[in-house]
Amino acid sequence: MRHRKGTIALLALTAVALAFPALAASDETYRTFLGYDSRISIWIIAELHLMFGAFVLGVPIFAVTIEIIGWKTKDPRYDKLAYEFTQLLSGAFGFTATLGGLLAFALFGLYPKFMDYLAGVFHDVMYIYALLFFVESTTLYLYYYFWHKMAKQKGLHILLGILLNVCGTVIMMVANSWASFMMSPTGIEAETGKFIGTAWQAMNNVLWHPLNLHRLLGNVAFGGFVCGAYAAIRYLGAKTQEERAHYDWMGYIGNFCAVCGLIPLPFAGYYLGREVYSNSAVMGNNMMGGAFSWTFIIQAILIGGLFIGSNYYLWIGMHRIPGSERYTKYIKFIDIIIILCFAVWLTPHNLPLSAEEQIAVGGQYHPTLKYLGLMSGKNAVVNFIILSTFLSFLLYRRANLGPGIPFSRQGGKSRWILLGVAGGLILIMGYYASYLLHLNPTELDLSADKEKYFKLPAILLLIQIAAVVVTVILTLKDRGKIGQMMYLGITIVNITFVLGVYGYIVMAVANPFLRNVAVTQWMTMMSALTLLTTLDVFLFKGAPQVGEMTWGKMPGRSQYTLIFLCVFIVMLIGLMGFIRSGLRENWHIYGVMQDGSAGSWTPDNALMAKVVSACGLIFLSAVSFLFWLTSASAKKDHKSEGEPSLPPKATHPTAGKAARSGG
Amino acid sequence: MKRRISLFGYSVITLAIVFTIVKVVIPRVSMWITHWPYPLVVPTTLTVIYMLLAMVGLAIYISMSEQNMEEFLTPIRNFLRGGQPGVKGQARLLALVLIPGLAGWVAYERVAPRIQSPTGIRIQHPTIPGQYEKLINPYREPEEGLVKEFMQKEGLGDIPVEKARAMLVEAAMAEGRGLYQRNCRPCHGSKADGNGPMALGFRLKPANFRDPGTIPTVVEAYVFWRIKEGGRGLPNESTPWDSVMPRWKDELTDDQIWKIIMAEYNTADVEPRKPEKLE
Repeated sequence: MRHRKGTIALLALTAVALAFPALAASDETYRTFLGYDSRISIWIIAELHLMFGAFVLGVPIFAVTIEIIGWKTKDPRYDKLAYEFTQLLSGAFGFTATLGGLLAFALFGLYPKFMDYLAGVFHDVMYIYALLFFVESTTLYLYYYFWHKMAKQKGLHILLGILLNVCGTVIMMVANSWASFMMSPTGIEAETGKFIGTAWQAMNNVLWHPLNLHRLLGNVAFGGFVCGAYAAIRYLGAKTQEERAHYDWMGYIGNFCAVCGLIPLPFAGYYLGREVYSNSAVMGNNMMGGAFSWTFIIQAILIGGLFIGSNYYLWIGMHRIPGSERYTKYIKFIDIIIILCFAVWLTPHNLPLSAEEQIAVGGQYHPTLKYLGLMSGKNAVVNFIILSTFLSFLLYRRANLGPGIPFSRQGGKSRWILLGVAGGLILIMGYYASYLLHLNPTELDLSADKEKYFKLPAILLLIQIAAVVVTVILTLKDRGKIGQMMYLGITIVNITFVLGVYGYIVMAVANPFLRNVAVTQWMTMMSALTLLTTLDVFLFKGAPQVGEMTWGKMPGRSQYTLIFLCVFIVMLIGLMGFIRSGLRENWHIYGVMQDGSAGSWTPDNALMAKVVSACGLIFLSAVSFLFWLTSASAKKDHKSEGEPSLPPKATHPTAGKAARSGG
Repeated sequence: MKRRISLFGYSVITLAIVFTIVKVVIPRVSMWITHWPYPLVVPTTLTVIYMLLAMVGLAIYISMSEQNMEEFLTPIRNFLRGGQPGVKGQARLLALVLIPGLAGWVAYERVAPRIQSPTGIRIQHPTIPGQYEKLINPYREPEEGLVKEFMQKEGLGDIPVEKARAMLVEAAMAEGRGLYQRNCRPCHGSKADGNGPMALGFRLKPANFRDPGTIPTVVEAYVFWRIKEGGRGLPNESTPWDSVMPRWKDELTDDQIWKIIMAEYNTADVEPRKPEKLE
């Protein structure tokens, strides 16, 4: 049934793709969607298509990763989990394709002139897109229907899964190129607005890769949170302890994967934002300080909800781990840090004030709290939040582990790996420090006297390098835990308290260099994540477990948290879609083709909230329907197989290699 | 080990401390930092945000373990069940009357009509019209034509173009400083810090250009538009917009505005935002 639905959708999509030029050849510039506003209609259809697109891209990444872990650990339950998700995928694929077809029809029907222009630029790529879609759907059906038949050729089956992901990613990138071209067109003749470049030039526009990166990471996080919500629903409805244990474990894995995608996401967002600004300073201003600035406050609340929710879930989970009481006393401090950071994160530069308050604070900005609202302050706290979340994971990981084998007795392989990781970090940070020290201010359009501002970030990177060396020496001397804490402390001080404050100075006097300050912060933080994770693996190598992990003993509120996280990320995707597309304002193609339709105004926040919420609700209802379908199918499978679905044998979430290595 | 104060008690104390910090400590510290003559209140919106965050933090801590939940809920349950002897029992009755009364009073305060200006959301940098977006300051790095015109006007003879260019920039800056002091200083101040002699006459103080969140975050074309069109030229989506910035296009030429912009950044000791190079 699902197979047939997907095929019909595919045929529809192909028909639309091939009929593009004919549909677009119209004298009318704009039409309405059954009498409704065409722009809002397109907005809703595109948003739903994108949400399902994120689903069918995010979930296979998750499914294949889990399948690989199952293959490597030879634990059949990972395989079962991956299959369960592929079942969801099959239905979602049909929805995505159908919505894609509807979107294409609507675009060509409602905006024929604009689509004529766009098809003129991208028509060759559109055929490739349709072809890729065929390959992806074929791969998906092979991957799904041959799951059990290829059980003995697991490597080949995984290869199919990887091919499926490659196709999905390339499809996303192709579609991204159209969206990013509309924001930052290239190959255009300035005087006439005619496209004179090649399709590749148009694809390879400046916002393409920032958008690709942002969406890819977003989809990973999305896939994980959807998995978590699915597990939570099944957990809450579970009848037996075995089922509860299985879905508890599944929820943990989903949340873990989601946070892995979530941690680098703010940097990908920053990169995209900076490139939007670089492409058009005015578009950048509208985004962060103008008509879209309040949407970023909403975005901050949603991101805050994701980080707080993920941490909360972990902290609750620690209580089912024997031995965790050694670490739970630290959680309240992490809680305080995260809440304080969010207080800064949520403080707007430009406050909502009554006239009386304006008089009381002497203007629109609070004379002291206004500094918390600037980009530099936000960068500082987001780094701190990420490091705190990482610390939560470290505590969770070691919760029921005793002392591991001393590093000095772990043999040459461990030493070489540690030295290799440390060497790599020293090389990368050293290269960037050297780049900063030799950076010519004119490259950033700054006067020569601004060179002095480049020194501090470079010096901080050199301090980090020294800290890497000290940490490695301490580890070699079996004092790795001290080294870990020292490196974490230095990183927090450098990126939050030193560069966070320094950013304000750079903002005022050498603004283009702020990008390099952010890169230094990011690099330093990534060095901490890499080094500390590597160290943790060695510090707890061969560590005995304090007690048996008790899966399936989570209170209901932890499961509602997982559902809440899924709702939040869906809303976030909807909101960010609105911001990215809305930034073009009354332009179809920014600066080239103006939108002269009646609906070309920028929606206010109230309308945005209604439409995004409606899209979220429709999407979540459709996904709930898919969950129901899959659970009905799973019940049937369980009955026929007559076996319960147990969590992996590992008694601790991180005792299995899989969970340790990111599964 | 049993705590001397219950978790419920700790929670109430924590909220009271946070409230005191927001309502007393931050205003007084802000007064001390800025040398203002009175404490700088934390606006209602921020107070609500900070208090909500404090409650979220507490709720997380309390609900993290069953033990915490039990410890937090026990005094509430005991209170609701009653049975306390003597003064405690009377205090309970009083609380049962006062709490709903307090809730009613807060609700009344929120909804009762009163003469008060509404809390407005203000857009910091309204959307610049398309015709201004691509403008660049001709005096920042003057083109050769402009330099030659300057050489001719000033009778500079055969001096190198680069030298003349530097002289032109300096001359534009000097003229801009004079224009700034004549036209902008009364509100924005001689140091461009928003403290001109007329500044206190406005409810919404003139922008402090030394603040990294004001002119350093925008390109010069943006400042040009704001000076030229003033508060009246702002787009509809910016309403309600409180700005008494005059529309200077009636008083100043475009050239004069560009020169003022150069002087404005220079006086404030900040740099304009530059369109960055794409990576």
